Amino acid sequence: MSLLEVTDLSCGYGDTRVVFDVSFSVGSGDCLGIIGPNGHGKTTMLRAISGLIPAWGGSVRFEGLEIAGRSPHSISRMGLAHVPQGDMIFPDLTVEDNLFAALHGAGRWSERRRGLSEVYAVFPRLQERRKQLSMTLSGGEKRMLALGRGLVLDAKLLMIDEPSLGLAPRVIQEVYERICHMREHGVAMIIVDESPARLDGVADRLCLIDTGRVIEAGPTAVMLQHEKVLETYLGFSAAESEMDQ
Amino acid sequence: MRSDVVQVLYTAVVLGSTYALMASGLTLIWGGLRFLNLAYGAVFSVGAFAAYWAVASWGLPPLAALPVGFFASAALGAIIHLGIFRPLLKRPDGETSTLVAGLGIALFVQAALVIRFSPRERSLPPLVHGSFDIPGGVVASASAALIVVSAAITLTILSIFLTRSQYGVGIRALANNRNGAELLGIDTGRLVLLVMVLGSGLAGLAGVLLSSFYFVSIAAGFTALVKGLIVTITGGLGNLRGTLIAAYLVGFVESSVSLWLGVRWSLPVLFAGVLILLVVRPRGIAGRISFEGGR
Repeated sequence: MSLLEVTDLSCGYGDTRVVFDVSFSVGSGDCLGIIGPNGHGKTTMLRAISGLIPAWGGSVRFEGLEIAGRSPHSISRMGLAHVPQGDMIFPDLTVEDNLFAALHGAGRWSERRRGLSEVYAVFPRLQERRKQLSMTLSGGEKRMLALGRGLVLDAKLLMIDEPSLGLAPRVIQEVYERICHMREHGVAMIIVDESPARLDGVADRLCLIDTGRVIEAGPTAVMLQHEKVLETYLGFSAAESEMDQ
Repeated sequence: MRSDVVQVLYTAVVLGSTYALMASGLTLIWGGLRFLNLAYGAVFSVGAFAAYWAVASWGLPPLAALPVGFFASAALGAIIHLGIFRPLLKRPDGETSTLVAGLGIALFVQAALVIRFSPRERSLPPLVHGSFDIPGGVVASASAALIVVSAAITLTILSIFLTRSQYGVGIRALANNRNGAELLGIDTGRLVLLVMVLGSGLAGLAGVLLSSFYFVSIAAGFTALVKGLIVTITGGLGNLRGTLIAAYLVGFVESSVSLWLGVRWSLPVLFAGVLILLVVRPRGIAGRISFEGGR
């Protein structure tokens, strides 16, 4: 049984349908990369899975249970965590209080301290900044904090939306190093990124989404050479380029 | 020290504590929910009248009226939230609707209190008795001291609750970004209810304390709302430290203007001061740039 099984999911905003009958699945410990041009429904899809917006149709099953229609906090408590686009950190709270906010489930202080030290082991920078208001963090540090909050939730599946958005190349590299470090904790992941190259070596499989539909899915190595992917990102198909030669 | 200076400072501290108590619930509700609860004054009055009723008809000792006022107002807050505000907030135009609904609740409760208790002012027996001299030839009453002490205790507990407890961290998280809090598994619906209940309870507590010092009157609720709003807004909405500073500043302006320019000047000068402050510092005394980080 897959950890997450999305079947024919559709959703959107207002009267506008953005995601059309999308299906995919993620097994425990797997890492699925979702790629595709910006503005084609990747973020909307994650928001529907985590319950921030309602699903219009289809089903979302997590560990065999239907979760479409549940509230975001109950989905998060089941072990499906979402590190959203724009981070949604709490600017008026210190770094440590941002992490504490995610630790509400841990009853005892010893548990909370263990949670914090786990996060600080992966993100030493957050420990240095733990007493600072999170609004004073740099863009990269805010992203680390958002990821740290995801890690501290101790989720079975972590959905990370555009971890590279708005960051300098060197910082992007560091963020992905941290993500690989987080994977060593055994958490399954869905990572959305516009660029397939960045997911090379991180994701086991890639899923290409265009105009709100799944165009192609497969192992990362295969997908990186796939003509549909090349067509989407380079603007021409592999077949055409061969004809030109 | 000159006795008029001491008199001004004494009045400023008592008035400031009064306003801090009036504003504590309002600032909690604004800070946690970012919506203006115009029913706040009515909730304040209900606390005071519940206490008055308990003392007058059950013969409860006045100090035992404190929890009665707290729980009566807290219960009313829960009913208002679950019955009116929560359904309204689910609608797209929710925030405007709650504003009008709050005003409607205030008028309704006020009218109901007039019917039940008549518009006559009542008095609660003082919670504590006696008086003592402070240097400068000013006599302080024990009731006034009680107001000052309870304001200090209430705001200290509220501040510790908000910064140290898991619920407090959750409430501040919710005020910053509700979706972000939900994604961390925080049941924001339950926390919002908690904020409404606690904020209303604080209003009731303030209602009882202040009625034993001033009067139990229908109009007192309106004064609490207006003064609470002034203090909350000038302090920086939802900021506890700013609220406290603003409360004592307002108290000082009122008492010094009353003594040196005459009582009738105290409100005009106060409002002019608030207007100027808001033009110069739109976010209030302690207001800092706080924003909704994404939606």
